[in-house]
Amino acid sequence: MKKENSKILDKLGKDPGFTVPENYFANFTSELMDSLPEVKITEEEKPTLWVRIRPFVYMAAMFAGIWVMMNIFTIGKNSSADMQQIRSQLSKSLPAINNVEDFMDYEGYSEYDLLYEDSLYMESENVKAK
Amino acid sequence: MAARAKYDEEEIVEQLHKQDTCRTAFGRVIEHYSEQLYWHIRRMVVDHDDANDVLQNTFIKAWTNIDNFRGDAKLSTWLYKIAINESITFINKKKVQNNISLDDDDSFLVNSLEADKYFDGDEAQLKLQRAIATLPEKQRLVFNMRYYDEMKYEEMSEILGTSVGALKASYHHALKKIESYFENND
Repeated sequence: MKKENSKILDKLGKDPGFTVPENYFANFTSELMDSLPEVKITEEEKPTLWVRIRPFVYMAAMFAGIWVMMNIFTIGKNSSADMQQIRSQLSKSLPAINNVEDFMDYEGYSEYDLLYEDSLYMESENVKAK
Repeated sequence: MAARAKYDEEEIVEQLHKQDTCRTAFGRVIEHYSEQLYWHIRRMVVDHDDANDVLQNTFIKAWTNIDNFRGDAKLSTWLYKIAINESITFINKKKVQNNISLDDDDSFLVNSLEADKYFDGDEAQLKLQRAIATLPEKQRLVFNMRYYDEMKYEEMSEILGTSVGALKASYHHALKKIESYFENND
């Protein structure tokens, strides 16, 4: 502080030479307090428990939602993976199954068409037997 | 007489926001800040009676606006801002009353200082007050806050809304002008 002051100021000191009436500061507060008008203070309402915890509840709900959605997708993935496994096991145990599927899909033939043809064949066999 | 509890600003601010405690708390604020604000105002307006009026207006303004004080800034910063505004408003009003241009310096304030019963300074102190009165308003504020109140530039920056660098420059210019006033008025 001293470094930034000038020599003149260092010589003069910091007393500006001002004085106040006796007991001025002692009486100032009480005199002023008497003249202060009434004021209305808007007191801040204490937030309810729900208002205070609401953001945390919302955040928890959001995370729960994300967790549920992730689980749904994961379950879907798992089930299709299980099916793949079953299919591969089946194809190993029944090597001709792929050919059957090829045949079944051939030119729009479905397994219902085959069943229908089977039923016709069975019916004609029954007629012959009779 | 019962000993007064220690002044705890955080507690006082809390009490200021409650209807049943705000008046007593404000009394504590006046007690705590009246002297330092008085000297700050007195150095601006020079005359004791004027300083007394401005100080009262400062506290009345603070009291009537107490509901707007939310404790974001320090109470002292808020009070200083009000005191500075009130001082400048008072000086400008006095200039208008005395037919002095608002652009002129505040030398007229020290004209009657010699005869003031609440001034017991010597010739050198009177000369310093005359030199300070020739400074532009902002420089005068900065000089008083730094030299007499020994306020930190950071705090002054908060009160005056000016950068620390600009305040340092202002103080430096004020010192140079005071030195040159002394050299030219030997």
